[in-house]
Amino acid sequence: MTSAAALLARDSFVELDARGRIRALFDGGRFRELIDPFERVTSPWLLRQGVVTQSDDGVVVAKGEIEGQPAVILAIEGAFQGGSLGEVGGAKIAGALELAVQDNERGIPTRALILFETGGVRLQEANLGLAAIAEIHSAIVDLRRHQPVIGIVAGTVGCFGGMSIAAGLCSYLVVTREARLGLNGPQVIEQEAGIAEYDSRDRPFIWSFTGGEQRARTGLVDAFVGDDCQALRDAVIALLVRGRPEVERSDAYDHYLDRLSRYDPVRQVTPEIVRQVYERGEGT
Amino acid sequence: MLEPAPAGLTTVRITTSVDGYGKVWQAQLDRVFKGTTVGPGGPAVALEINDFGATPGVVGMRIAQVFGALGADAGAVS
Repeated sequence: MTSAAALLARDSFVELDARGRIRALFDGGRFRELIDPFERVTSPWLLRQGVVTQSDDGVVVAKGEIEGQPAVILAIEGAFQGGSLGEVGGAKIAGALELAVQDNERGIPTRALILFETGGVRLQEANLGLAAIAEIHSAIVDLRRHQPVIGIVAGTVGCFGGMSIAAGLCSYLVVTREARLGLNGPQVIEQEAGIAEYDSRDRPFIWSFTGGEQRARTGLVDAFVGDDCQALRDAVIALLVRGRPEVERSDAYDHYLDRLSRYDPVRQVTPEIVRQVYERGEGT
Repeated sequence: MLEPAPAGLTTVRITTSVDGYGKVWQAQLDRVFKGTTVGPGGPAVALEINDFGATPGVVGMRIAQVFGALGADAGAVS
């Protein structure tokens, strides 16, 4: 159980905005922002549809150091348009990852952290957002040949849609209990499958399937940490020290296909069944 | 976003998705800039506001926060 004193003593990461999270992860909170808000690179599509833009398009690109080594953090601001990825925000992330690849090719060991807080593609920017997300995918795969790419899903927006695939491509994933990770968001599933099958307002139910704790217990993430800035930073540093994994999670599809083949869809799935199948490889 | 501007000149640009609030914005900005001493010889700032549906009153409080932060930091603040 969490005592009131423990809650008061911790320094919440989930409650921070994108820049605050970046500050919490870099050495001494020092960083330099690329394409900062004053450069005014904003979405050209939102205003035409009557949606107010944000000066950084909801993505913060920051360079700094972690344990004295160069790193770039790409933080999505969940408070702007649900953390949706459009043309500009997507290009900022993909471009920064490509620059990190160039750094590594020149002998500068730049690592990348991506702070996912996103529902996926920004529907108002449709195909351009999807194209940007595809570029992010290929840039992650390119960079992880050199350095581990670490994804963090802290919550409370979580990580869904095309960006959940980006999370799956990361070398390591760090989540908190507030995090959710899934391909389709709860409302989309409810709309497609019906409220009797999946009630998106039933929060304990949603978290029991897609929440950080369940994802940790089914081996789909690498670190499950409390909502505390120091704990997050420590987890990131431990994974950076570990270096590139022997096998990237996305290359271990044989393992996951084998697990999925053990599930009999005739039985209504429960969080416990998912754990049995993924954790212990038991059939249903 | 608030940036320095040439002395004696203040510009404000507001992006909002809500129509018909011109008078309210004018009143709010009059109140904000009345009696402020940001910049040499009175207010001299370039201010950009993306309202995200916030009311002019809330935006006024945010501007007051920015002016407060200016006291601590001489550079541009967002």
